[in-house]
Amino acid sequence: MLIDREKCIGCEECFPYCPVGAIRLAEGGSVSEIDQAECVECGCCYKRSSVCPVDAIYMPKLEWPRCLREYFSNPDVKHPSTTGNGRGTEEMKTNDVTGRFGRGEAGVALELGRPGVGTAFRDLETVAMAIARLGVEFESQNPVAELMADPKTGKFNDAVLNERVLSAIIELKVPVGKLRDVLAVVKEVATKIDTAFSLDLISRVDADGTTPVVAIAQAAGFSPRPNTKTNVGLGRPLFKEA
Amino acid sequence: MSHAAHRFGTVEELRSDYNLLVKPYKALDDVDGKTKEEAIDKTEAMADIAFENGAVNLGRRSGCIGRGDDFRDIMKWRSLQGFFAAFSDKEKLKKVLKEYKKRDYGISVVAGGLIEEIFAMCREIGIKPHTILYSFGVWGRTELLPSEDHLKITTLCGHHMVSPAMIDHYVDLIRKEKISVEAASRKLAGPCVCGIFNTDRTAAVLTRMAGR
Ligand code: SF4
Ligand code: SF4
Repeated sequence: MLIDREKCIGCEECFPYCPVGAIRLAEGGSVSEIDQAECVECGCCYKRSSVCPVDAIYMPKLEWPRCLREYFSNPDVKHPSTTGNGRGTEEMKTNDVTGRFGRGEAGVALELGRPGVGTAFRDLETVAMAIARLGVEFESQNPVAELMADPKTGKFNDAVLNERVLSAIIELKVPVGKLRDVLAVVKEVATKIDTAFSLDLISRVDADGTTPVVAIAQAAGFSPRPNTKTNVGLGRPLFKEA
Repeated sequence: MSHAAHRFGTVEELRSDYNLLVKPYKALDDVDGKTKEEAIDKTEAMADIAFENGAVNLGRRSGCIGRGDDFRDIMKWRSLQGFFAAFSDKEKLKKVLKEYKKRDYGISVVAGGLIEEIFAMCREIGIKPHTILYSFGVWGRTELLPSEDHLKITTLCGHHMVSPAMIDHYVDLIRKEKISVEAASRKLAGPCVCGIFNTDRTAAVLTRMAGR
């Protein structure tokens, strides 16, 4: 996102709209500018708010890899790789229909940059490379997958490493028996990145209302928050239970 | 990925914050037109039920009632995108889920809120929770996070379109009596495209932050 210096009157009206605090007064203090390294191209200062009284804020054509910022940070924009909006997949939302997560399997998602901190793909690479050593497979439908030069090692394309986004997700599925090892790596790698992340675990719910993943996570030093989301099983299955 | 999962708040505060996602399977887009149209019709019927049962917010990419958009206009968009809704009263969400079960639409429904409350609700209605996504908190450089009060509002929008600075801006205006708490909540709901932002909860947090 850019500000037209000829039009801007330095009113600062747009400042509070930026989730990453990238808008500031330029030297001299009479007009504003956007820190291009920090801006995640989320559109909050632009069409989402239409805040600028003189239409000084504008979106230039974003070339690759900068356009990744917008794909991952602006929920109004579709990911060309997945044709979906947002940064994730349907994961458990439609699991009662798709059967994507079966019994004995655990979904793991590290939502880097979330909540509201932002992240560079460099941090995603650090996490992906650490987890890849366990021989896991990353979710191929997640838009992060196409940024990996080698999904087996978790190595990203070097050209994208410095691009910043509001958040992006490392998503994988493992047999429940492997979850403990994955969580040990998650704990270790959390100390090596320059951002914060929200951690999700996905599981089928057993008939008695429990799941196998909570005890494993607690033993690894992770406590579930009291609130979350549940697919309540009203979708009609398109799969046969194994 | 998880608009509904990482909402900050104490257990007591979360007792008045529930949410709902109705989501047709995306690949329905690739099947025959009739099946797709039926799924869209069902989604619309399900949105009617959520709206009539007192959702405080309901929306999709075409707008949300929390910021003042018209429900009928929002639902004119024929799409498999589904919709989100927020509730401040668990009894209202329970009624909605009960109705969905009775009508057997066959479309996936995700309910968000306190796990024990959602599971109790399911037991009462006679539905079996299928799959859960647990939130295991925030890791890494947590010192970069804003205050707990800010997070109680910013995490109501999963895409983080609501900035902490915007919250401070409205708290300031409320203190100066330039805007009401309710109007400020609607303003804050503005950037959140999904309709999952709970304006009631926001009003409660703003009231406290403004020292009212
Ligand atoms: S596009 Fe988003 S990140 Fe960039 S300056 Fe505007 S609000 Fe800030
Ligand atoms: S709102 Fe417009 S005129 Fe005011 S500081 Fe921002 S860009 Fe400049």
